[in-house]
Amino acid sequence: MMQVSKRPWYQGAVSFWLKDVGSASYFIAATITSFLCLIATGIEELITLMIMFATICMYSAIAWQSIKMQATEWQSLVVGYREHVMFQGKVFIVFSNLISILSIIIAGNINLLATLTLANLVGIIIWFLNRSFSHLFTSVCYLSFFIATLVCVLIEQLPVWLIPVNIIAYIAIALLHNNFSSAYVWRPDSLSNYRNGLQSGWSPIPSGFLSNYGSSINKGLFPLSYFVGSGLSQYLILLTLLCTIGVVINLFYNITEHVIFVLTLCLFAIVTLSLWSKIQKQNSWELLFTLPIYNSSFSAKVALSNSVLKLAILVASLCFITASALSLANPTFLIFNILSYSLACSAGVLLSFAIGNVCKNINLLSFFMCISFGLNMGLANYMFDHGNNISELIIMATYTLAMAAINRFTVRYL
Amino acid sequence: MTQPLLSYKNISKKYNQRCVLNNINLNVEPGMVIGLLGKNGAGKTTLLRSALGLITPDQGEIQVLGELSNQLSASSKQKIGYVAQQTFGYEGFKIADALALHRSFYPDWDMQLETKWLARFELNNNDAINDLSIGQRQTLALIMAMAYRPQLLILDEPVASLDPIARREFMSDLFDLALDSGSGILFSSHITSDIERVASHIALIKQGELLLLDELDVIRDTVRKVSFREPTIDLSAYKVLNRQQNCAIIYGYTGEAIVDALAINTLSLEQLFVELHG
Repeated sequence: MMQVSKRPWYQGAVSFWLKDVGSASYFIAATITSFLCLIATGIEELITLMIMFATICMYSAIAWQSIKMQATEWQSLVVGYREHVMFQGKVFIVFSNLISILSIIIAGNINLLATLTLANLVGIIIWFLNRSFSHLFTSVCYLSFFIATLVCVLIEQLPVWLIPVNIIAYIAIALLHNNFSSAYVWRPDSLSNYRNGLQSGWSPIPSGFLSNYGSSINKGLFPLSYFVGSGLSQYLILLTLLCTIGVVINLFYNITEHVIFVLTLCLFAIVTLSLWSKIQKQNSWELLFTLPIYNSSFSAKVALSNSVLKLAILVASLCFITASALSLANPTFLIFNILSYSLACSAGVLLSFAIGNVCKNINLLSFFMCISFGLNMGLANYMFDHGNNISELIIMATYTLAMAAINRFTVRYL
Repeated sequence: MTQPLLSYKNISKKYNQRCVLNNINLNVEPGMVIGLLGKNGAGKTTLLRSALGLITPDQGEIQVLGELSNQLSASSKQKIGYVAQQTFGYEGFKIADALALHRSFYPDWDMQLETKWLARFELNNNDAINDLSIGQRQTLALIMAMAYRPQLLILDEPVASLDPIARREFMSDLFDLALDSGSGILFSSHITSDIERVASHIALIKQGELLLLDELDVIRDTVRKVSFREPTIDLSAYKVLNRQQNCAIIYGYTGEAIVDALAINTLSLEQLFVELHG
């Protein structure tokens, strides 16, 4: 018989947080963004968004582990197992907060502390809700990310008085949650929620939503829609609706830059989700190859590359129409800005899918997706603000063509 | 009289007005290996999960190692082993890492047993759990549940995905474990030959009701299929498990002649299962 050894707190941490694909997608994003906060201390708008994103992502990773806990039937029998995993999560939260505080000190802006405390408040709500209700993960996470982004975009600096309010609310939730929740209790639907989450990329949209309107889009984007699922057309329709609402509001209030920022953010979030769903369904290739419409596996891969190209063209068209409509109310933006912006978005889509073609390892993919997400966001917004001459337009056109070529070339590595 | 390791008393459970468990009474005592047999949806998994406090019954009381199943103490939990139908929980781990972490929660982990079973079932310590087949995952789950020699072992279709050789070996180990450690084992299975090979007792569950609970040998000796022509045949001396137009399955037969019976046949466990659900 062997006596139990004292277990180090980090035992199994790499496997729990980095090798579980669901957790890794949030954890890696949170870790990278946390460290980027230290670099971005000079850019006020960016650091606000990054602090918010890093903190909420870290809580989302813990929320994911909470769902896994609810899906694991034996966990309640293994004394100390849950505490061990959750302690690791708490250490990571503290670590992420310490980095954020350090970057706030470097930036020398007390208002950022209000952002950090708000992010923690939103985060604990995500975590605690998902400790009891695994089916809420999608909607709670997306709503939180959306609200957090809106707060960062619409409110330049959160007031300092929010700091104590957020802290008190945080402590109250932490202290009172036991009175109205049954945390980590096994639930029969949790395992399917967990697996659906892995497969669908936690699409926040119900599977039947807008399905009648999206069938022609899905048909046109086959076989990409085969991997991503009905979510692809739903995302595109929702994005169009979002753009329309933004354009209408822009007729009354000048929110051009906000609309462009939110549109770009949503676009690349959608691309990331679509790519995630596609990666999770790699095993479905075999069925696709057997379809009589393809002569060989390579022709199926080429068809996939073509459908990504079609998506990129759709995205470019949507961005062009939206940006043009926005510029009607705000004529300071030239056609060059609009075209460069549209091409940057389109190139971003192609780049993301090219990364998906090459990266087989999910951790590597998450890492590069984070990098490309930031790069695409930065490039698109820069082009809208500063791409006002023909030379930049030519560079963007060349870049887009290069991305299309890379996407087509890398498809063979799928 | 020894205290049962697991005791179900008048357990009933409904889901959406459907009765999943109906007044179940069952005791698992040290040394008992109870094979729980029933069709899909008969209530086997619900019965096993309720023993762990995962499901709360609408009526009745479940005691595990002398404690209520939903209020188990840490020391009791360390004496219970459980393998679920769907093995899940260590995704992302290598076998060695998962075992190292799991073993750290159990002071009485038998390292030799772990090593022996890993070797016997050809599990490589460096393999990632995500890359294992369903059968290999189930084997690992069984090792994790048995290597600390629990007093009570609850297994939900533990060997369904194992190949026949692995199944046979594990079943034999189960039996040895019960004999050596005085453990009680409650396991569900569809594979009647496995149950026949290792179970000391059989619990037959149909639509949430425990039709039959007895020693395997007693069931073999006293369950009969009686064929008859006249539906007025008197079978009141026996428990009738199933009755059809010209035949009935009876329990409690002790070798006497039955008036009006055309034939009285013995049944294998599989035949009994089929007849009861026919």
